[in-house]
Amino acid sequence: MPAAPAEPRPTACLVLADGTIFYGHGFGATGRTVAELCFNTAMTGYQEIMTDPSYAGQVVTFTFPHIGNTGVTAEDDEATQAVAAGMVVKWDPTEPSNWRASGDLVAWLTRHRHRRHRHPPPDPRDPPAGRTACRAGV
Amino acid sequence: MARGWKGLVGLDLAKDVTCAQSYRWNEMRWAWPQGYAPQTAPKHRVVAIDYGAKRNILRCLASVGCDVTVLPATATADEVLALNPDGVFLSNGPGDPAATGVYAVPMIQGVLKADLPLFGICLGHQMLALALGARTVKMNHGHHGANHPVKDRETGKVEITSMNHGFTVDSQTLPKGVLETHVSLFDGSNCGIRMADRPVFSVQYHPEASPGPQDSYYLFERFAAAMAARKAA
Repeated sequence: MPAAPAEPRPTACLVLADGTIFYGHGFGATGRTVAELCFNTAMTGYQEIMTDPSYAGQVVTFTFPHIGNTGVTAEDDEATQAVAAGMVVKWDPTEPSNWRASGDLVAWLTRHRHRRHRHPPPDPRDPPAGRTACRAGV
Repeated sequence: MARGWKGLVGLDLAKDVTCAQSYRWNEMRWAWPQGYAPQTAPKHRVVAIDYGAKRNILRCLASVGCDVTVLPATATADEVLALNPDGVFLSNGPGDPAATGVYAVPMIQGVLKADLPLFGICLGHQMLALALGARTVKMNHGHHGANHPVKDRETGKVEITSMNHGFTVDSQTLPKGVLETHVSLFDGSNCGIRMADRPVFSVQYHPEASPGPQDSYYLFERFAAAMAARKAA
């Protein structure tokens, strides 16, 4: 039986004000940001959400896991740049499948120079018991 | 670094995301097959104050016949009224409404004295409430999504709405003459107000959608109808 692919090493971390730390897999631009961690439950519209100026000063946690699957198109920007301070998602963005897409989310995020953060699949060696549920939600 | 941050309360973030100078907007809502088309014969002159406005709000205004001039968040009542508008719009935006209200509330109160139709969304809703004498408070975890049910208390109809707010208007503090028109069916929090005797109204949620359902587009039509009625009177 072939060996399971190695877990990606954490390349990003999310630190809460109460000292809780989540390690994950970063994508998009690199850097650090301090912001309010909020959430959005919408199943579509991640590009409109990231460019909505109302999200200034906030990192958006998307509760819907399939973020990136419709790509990006300049027609859907709600402002000239991504305004949200960052995004937290459960799964890696996939290749876009959408006739309107003119690019993919990761390249778009890099271009907008914002900080993104994705969580790796749960690793039994790492998370303390009480935190696994949180991780699934993040 | 995370512990040292004081949070959003008291932060005026609108000044960071507003436009640097005024501009006109004439693009309408996306429609098949032409996409975004320019408007042809606008009927109402509207000044939109940009606290961090989403483009689709400006498109919805253009689609109901508004000739939109966008002004920066720090515009004064005199600057707004100098453009001789038929109506004034207050946009969405980030941060603490009480902090942005320091300069926005005097402007809104000046516009209210001119007795013009006025429409607000999100942060614009909260600041209209402040200008009318109500209070805003930070919510525990806010509303952020595209499927939030809201009840129109005047018609009994339920709209599924797009929402994004972490502060809310305390409906207990609404003064006499200001009615609560919409409430959240999730937690009963305030989602809309209007003045009892004038076409001055606002909603906490996002009738422009993007993303989300378009159940509440009628509010843009209501604003246009208010301007038409005022001109006909």
